Amino acid sequence: MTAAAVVGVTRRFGRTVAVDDVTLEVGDGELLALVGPSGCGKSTLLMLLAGLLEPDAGTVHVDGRQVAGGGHWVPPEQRSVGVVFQDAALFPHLRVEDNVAFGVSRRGGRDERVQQLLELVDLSGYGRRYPHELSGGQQQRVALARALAARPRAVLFDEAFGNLDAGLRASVRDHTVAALREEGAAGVFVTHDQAEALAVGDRVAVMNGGRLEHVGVPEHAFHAPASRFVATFLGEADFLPGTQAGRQVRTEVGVLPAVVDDDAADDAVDVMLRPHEVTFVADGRGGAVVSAREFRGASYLYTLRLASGATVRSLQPHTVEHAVGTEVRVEVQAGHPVRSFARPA
Amino acid sequence: MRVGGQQRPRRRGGRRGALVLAVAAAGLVLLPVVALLVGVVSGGAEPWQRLGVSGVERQTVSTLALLALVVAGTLALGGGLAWLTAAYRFPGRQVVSWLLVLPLAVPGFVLGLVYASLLSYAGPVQSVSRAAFGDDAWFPPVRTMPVAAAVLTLSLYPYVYLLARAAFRSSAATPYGAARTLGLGPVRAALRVVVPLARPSLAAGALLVALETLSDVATVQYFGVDTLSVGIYRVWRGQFDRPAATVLAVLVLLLALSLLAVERWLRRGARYSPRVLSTAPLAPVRLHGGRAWAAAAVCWTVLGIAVVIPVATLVTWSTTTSLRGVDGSFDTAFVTAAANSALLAAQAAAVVVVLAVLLVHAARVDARRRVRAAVQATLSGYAVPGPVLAIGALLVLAAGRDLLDAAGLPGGGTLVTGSVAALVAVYAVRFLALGFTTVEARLASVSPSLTSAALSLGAAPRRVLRSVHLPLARSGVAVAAVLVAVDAMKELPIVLLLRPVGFDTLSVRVWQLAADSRYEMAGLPALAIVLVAMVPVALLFRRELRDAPAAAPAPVESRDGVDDELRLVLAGTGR
Repeated sequence: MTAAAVVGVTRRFGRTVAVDDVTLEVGDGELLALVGPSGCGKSTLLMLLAGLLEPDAGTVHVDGRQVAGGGHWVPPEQRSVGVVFQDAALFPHLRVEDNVAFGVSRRGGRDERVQQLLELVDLSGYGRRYPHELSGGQQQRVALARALAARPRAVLFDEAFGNLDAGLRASVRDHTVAALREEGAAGVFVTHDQAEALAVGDRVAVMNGGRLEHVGVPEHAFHAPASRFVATFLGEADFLPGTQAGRQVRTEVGVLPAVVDDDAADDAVDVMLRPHEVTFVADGRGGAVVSAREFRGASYLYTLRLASGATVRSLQPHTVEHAVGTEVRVEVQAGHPVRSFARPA
Repeated sequence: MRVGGQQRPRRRGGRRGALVLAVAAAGLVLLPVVALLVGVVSGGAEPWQRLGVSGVERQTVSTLALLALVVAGTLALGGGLAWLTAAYRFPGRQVVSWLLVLPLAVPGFVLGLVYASLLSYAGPVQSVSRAAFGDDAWFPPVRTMPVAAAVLTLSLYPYVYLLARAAFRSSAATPYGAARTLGLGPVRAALRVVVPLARPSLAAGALLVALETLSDVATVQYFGVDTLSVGIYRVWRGQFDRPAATVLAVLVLLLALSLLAVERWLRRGARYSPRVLSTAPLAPVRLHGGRAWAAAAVCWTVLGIAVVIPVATLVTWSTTTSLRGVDGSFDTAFVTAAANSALLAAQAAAVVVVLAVLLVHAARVDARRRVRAAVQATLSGYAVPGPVLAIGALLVLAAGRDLLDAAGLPGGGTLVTGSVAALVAVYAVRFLALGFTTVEARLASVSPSLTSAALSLGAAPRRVLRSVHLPLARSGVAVAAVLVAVDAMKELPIVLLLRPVGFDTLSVRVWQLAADSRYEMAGLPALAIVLVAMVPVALLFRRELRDAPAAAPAPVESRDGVDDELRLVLAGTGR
């Protein structure tokens, strides 16, 4: 059962196509991370789902009901879709408890529901306060409680943790995920932070230039991305030329089992290697040279120049120390077939 | 899957209401313009013949010349004063930089009245000149276009001044500093970096000035300048020639639209507004010695000519003669006119504020493009000069009379002879943009996500209006009411063209007495207008005080004081 879905949705602003023929659904209780660079249309997609924008083409569905497109229009207040905004958007003239109660019907148990939600977000004693008396993290939690109080089918988070500093961010996020699971509501998290997307989502949807480029579980998106853009957006990646032969790709650093690109017209491909998949030994039988080294605290990121001149990067624990100029032999230890892409013409 | 189409009709009502309201308001605003266009086409060539091509040509040329003079004058005076007070420190700068806004409270037809009197043959200036140089001494002619342009410049420059100052203060600091470090002197840095950056604001200010100049029918007549708007007034009030007035009104409308297009073009780079690049305010340079006093003298001279002398003159006239009628008895005409002005202003303010609140609300709760487009259309009333709007309204009313007559219903006659209700309706069209922008400015400091949040929590639009928008926009509603009422008090061209016979307002009375050269008699009504018009300026001052660094920020207030000020200026001028 889907909580919410968009089918073939397009939205333009003037000549810009913000969302371009996107189809995506969120299952009941599922947490979906919607990630992409700024301006990719992810927030627009969220507003289309919430009914805060009207699609130019395509349809929007919530809980199996068509709510936009094809002559239908269900306004946001009847969609049963909650939104948590980056600025929390608490009503400044209402107390915390009145904010949370805003979307709850007056009939039966409103006060209990408000208390229950405030407990859920760990703010039991704060009901009588005004929003400006709370910290940023607390405001975000009130916004979450307020959205959940109305028992929506799905809650949309528009960069909801973007204004919080790193430490607070993780804790508010964990709170949020736990609260959503507890309430059984689906969640859609819009973010431009790929680490957050991989950590939060049951599935990850990657957008670029208004189009959806990849939808899938985080591991799949990370290890077998649908496009080069998705590959580089979700993490550091190098592309090494190789020749495809069946389910294998022959490269300068060995023959690697690969997920092949169906679009590949001929045998010439590039395989994606992430730094943590690349190791090396300095046993003098090398062919490759350490050309740069970047200290990252717990680890070193080495840049290795191969005999052909191509470079790959290798992430090593800080205990593995080699000077720039050391001759090394490169090995790939991916633990899974590597992704190969057709070589661009 | 349940397919839609089964929404409960009760809830849908609120949304249809938003659309109906927005479309109706847009129709009300656009109707006079449409009527004009229909009128000019159906009128054919005959009204042109009555007007005479040479006459129209002459009026068009003098209108364009006047526009050029006033726009150039206000850009130089307003822009120059803004740069002087933003970039330099001199004695009294803080006080004078506020006071320089005050001429906004002295409308052109009041300032013109004062100088028409002071510079007249019998006035003090020429009397002194004759006493000093003899009766035959040459004195420059007063009833000329340059004098009219100077008067309009002095009363309109604050538009440019305020917008330019806001632009300089909010955006100039870093680029100006960068230009100086790259080897440019202060003047060249200002011309090559600051002026281009402020171009959108300067263009916006110049547009306001140009539209006001285009609307003016009184000031120019004091000084014998025959513009198209004066032509409209003569042709309608003098000869009741509606088709000819229509032709002239369409010409003025075309001029206004061209001005709007030019401003759009000049603003084309506005989206690169550097407001985001620079948050540091411009650090003014201290002037020393003679230069410091010269800077102060320039500002005080402008203030003296534009505010102090006129107000002092009006006060003198008021205390000596105004309350006595021609025969020496108490002047009841003043009281009647004041009551009429107040009545008209209050009604216009009430209508505008209610409409503005509903429209702001509709635009915020309804995501559909039709609603937003319709709301945008209602704001176009500001671009239509007063005389044009008046003639357009006249055509609409005449059509209304024809309809009533055709249906055999009574009351058609009063539609065209003028009625207070018609005046209120036209004022509503004229000032809707002012009310809307003021209310919207107040709500703009409230994040749009607040409205979205309320809606997504299941609140119907009516509840969003009641529990979110109204509580948060309350102060904006009050300010909008004040601004609209004041502008309605100052308004002259529309009431002059549309008033019922014998219906005098303060502004009409000033105009009539001035036209009869009974300047002293006009002192009291003019002074009353100036005093009322001080209210928005005082509001502006209050805002500046509140936004001063020392003031503690209130929790709900907007974060960007400069932006707020800009909005109030735009709102305060009806744009």
